Order: sequence, then C-alpha cells, then structure tokens
Amino acid sequence: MMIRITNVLQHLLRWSIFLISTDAVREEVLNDLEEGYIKIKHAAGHASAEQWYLRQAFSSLPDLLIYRLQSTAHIRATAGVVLGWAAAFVAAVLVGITTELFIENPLASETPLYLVLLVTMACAFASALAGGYVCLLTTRRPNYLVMALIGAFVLTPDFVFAIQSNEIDVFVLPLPIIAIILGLTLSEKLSTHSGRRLL
Amino acid sequence: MASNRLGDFEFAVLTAILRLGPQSYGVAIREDIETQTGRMVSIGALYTTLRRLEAKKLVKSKFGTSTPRRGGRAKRFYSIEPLGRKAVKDTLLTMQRAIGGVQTI
Repeated sequence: MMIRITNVLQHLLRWSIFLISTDAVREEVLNDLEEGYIKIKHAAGHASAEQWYLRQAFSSLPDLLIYRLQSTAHIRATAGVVLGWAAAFVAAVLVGITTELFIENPLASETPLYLVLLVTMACAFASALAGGYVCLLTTRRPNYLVMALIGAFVLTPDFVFAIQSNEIDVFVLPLPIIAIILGLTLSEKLSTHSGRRLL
Repeated sequence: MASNRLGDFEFAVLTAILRLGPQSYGVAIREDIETQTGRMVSIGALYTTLRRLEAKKLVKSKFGTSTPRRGGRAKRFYSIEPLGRKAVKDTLLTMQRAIGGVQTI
C-alpha cells in the first residue's frame, strides 16, 4: 500500500513539475530526476530511490515556480498589477478611514490640516512600500507606471471627497500619488538589496 | 561591475563547471556541488540558476550525443564563458578583500 501511495505521489509531483516549469528547463529537470532515480535504485535500492525522487521533486517545485513567475512576461505583469492594485486599495481604505475619522470627530475643526495630510500620505506610502516590496521580491521587474497609475486612480475619488468635505486645497491632490511613487521606488531599492542577499 | 557579483549558489555552480571541464552536465554539476559543499542541491534550483547564468552570458551550453542511459535523450553540456571566469575571479577577490585583516575566526 505504501509503495502505491509513493507511486501516486511520484506521478503527481512529475505532473506538477511538468505544468509549473518553463519550456527552457522542463525536459532537463525531468530527465535528471529520472537519471538520478535509476542511479540510486541500482546503488541503494528501490526505497532509497523513491525517497530521493520525492525529496528532489518537492524541493524543486518552489524554484521552478519562482522561475516561471520571473520569466513569464504576462504573469509578471499580472502579479505587478494585482499587487500594486492591492497596495493602492489598502491605501485608499486607510485614507478613507482617516478622512472619515477626522470629519466625524467633533474635534475635526481643531485638527490641523497638515496632520490629516501627513497621516494620509504615510498610509499611502506604507501600503505602496509593502505592496511594491512583495511584488518586487517575487517578480523583480514590475511595471511601476501601471502600479502608480492604478494607485492614483483608486486614491483620487477619496481625495476628491476629502477636498469637498474638508476644503483641502486642490494643490495637495498629487501628494499621495507622489508618496506612492516614492514608496515603490524605495521598495525597489530594498528588494534589490534583499534579492542579492538571497541569491 | 555590479552584474559580475555572484550569489553563493551561482558561485558554486560556476566553480563546479570549472572543475568538471567538458563533462559538465546537470547531474554531474549537482553531484559535484553536493560533494564539495555537503548539502543537497535541488534539480530545480540548479537548472533555473544555469538558465540565469546563460542569460547573463556567463555560461553557454550545447547538446551532446544521445546515450541509452537517458532513454536516448541527449545531455546538455555547459562551459564557462570569459565573462563567467571574470565573475568568479571578481567574487574571489571580493571574498579575499572581505576577509583581509581577520586574525582569528
């Protein structure tokens, strides 16, 4: 029974590798797994060869997946857009909550405008930094412009609302967008540094 | 200069190719690194690294003749390019500079 389970696992892993890996590495990885399996089977027996195969196949999956993400343009672009949008969405929610809190607070009129802006920009900066960092660690080459534009589009309605409600000067509108771009740029520096260390 | 910086694993792969010479193909490189470093090398990590090194023009590859051992499939042999040799030398120099002046560890 045990042998059958490992056989099923072996086939599942083989198929996973086949599906996940890119054309550039697929054949070589599968050939080497097969060659290694046969080699160990002759030297140490069937059970050892199976163990080796499972361990090798399992440990190869993350590398193959990351390589697929990094080398496939449309997946990279999608990941960039999704993560950038997620970062901007978090920023928009935080901006909305912050603005609403200040508007609904009876002390709102006593709250300095620069404080509202500072908190808003910090939120936008932090979420762009976090989103960009995750995106860059996985994809290495995101499309900054797309991410920044999505961030700007998601944030703009909140700021228009804030302008109408709080009479914020229209000239402060680009500030959170600048904060997002700064966050993304900084995340690039951080992830490049981490990427080198991880290699 | 920045592009010549190698990671630990890239360095191990390139030095294995240098050691193995014309016999450098996937299985041999993996076994060599495992022998030299004493740690398990995943096949996925090896081939993705080899592709990256090829993209950076640090190594090149060509198919050999097919053997019955691999079910008639040809092996892909790797050799180091001049840029790869330079990258290994640069990395070694960086390591030597980094450890310079250290009396005891």
